[in-house]
Amino acid sequence: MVVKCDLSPFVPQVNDLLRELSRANFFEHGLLIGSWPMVVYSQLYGLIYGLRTNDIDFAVVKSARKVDGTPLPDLLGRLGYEVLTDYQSGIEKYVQDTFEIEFLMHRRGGVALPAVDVPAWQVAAQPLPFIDILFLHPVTVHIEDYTLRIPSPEALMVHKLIIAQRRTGRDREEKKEKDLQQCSSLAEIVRAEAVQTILQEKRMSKDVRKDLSMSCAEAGLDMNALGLYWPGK
Amino acid sequence: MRRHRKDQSVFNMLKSERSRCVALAESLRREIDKLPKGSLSERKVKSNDKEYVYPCLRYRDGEKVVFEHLSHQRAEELKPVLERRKKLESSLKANKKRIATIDSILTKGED
Repeated sequence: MVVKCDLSPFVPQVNDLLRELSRANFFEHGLLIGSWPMVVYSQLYGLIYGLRTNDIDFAVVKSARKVDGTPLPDLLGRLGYEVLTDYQSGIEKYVQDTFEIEFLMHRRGGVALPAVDVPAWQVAAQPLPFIDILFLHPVTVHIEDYTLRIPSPEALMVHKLIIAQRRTGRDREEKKEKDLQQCSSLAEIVRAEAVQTILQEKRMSKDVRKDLSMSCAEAGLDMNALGLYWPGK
Repeated sequence: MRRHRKDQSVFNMLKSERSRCVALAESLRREIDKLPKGSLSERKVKSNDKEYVYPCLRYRDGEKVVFEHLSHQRAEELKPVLERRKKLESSLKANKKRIATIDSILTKGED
């Protein structure tokens, strides 16, 4: 799907960052994820969701082919971002004022891994489960003079419904509530047939299906109406 | 009832953003503590009718302001490190301000 925003829905600092990444062809393989795609959907579809945090997450694939041009750390440095590295986990964050950029990639299996180097972009990405869902049928967004890619509303909703039940850490309840709040907003625009396509392409275990079901129950969402069912089960 | 639940979710989101800012501020503080502090300047010394200019690192040590004599090479090495410290301090300040703003909203919300 390709959509166009006449006006940038992003604050100038984020808009500049996305434009530079787009010029570096980052979005050929990468995605803008986290709560920022909600800003795009709010503008495009009039969703009532004005809340977003100042962490900017990008999903990357390790197998992205080598890209010519400025390595991402240099590009981000030019934009005023400073790298902060956690030497125990190897996780890198790029920080400017209250903005915090992180790169995430899909992790298979349940074992937590330290950060993984992504040679094409010369960044260390944090492997997390279920990131692969976000890459299913992404949306290309034209904004002003650049283009970026974000997950489809359906993929974003399915992803959030799963991870809402798997949050860890001190603020897991707050994060879970935020995830479910986003799902409730997205539920207004998702197409049941597109959700079905995702369920057919991504095999989901019993536990994952249970997570989806629990999140829907907690958010008051009708699974059948959203296309969240498995034929024959 | 529904309105109350919606309002509560907004406050929970603010709490989540506050936690993120606190964690980021802690990371920034740790990184700043690893870096040398102060700013680079030059000192002029007159000797035998000649004036010598040498770089120095100026920083505060408690009540005192210390001028540490540096070689030109060391001054060049320190330049990017001190710039990094300044940027990180600016980010730390921005995060503290955001935490204070969120705290103020959360406090008002509890009233």
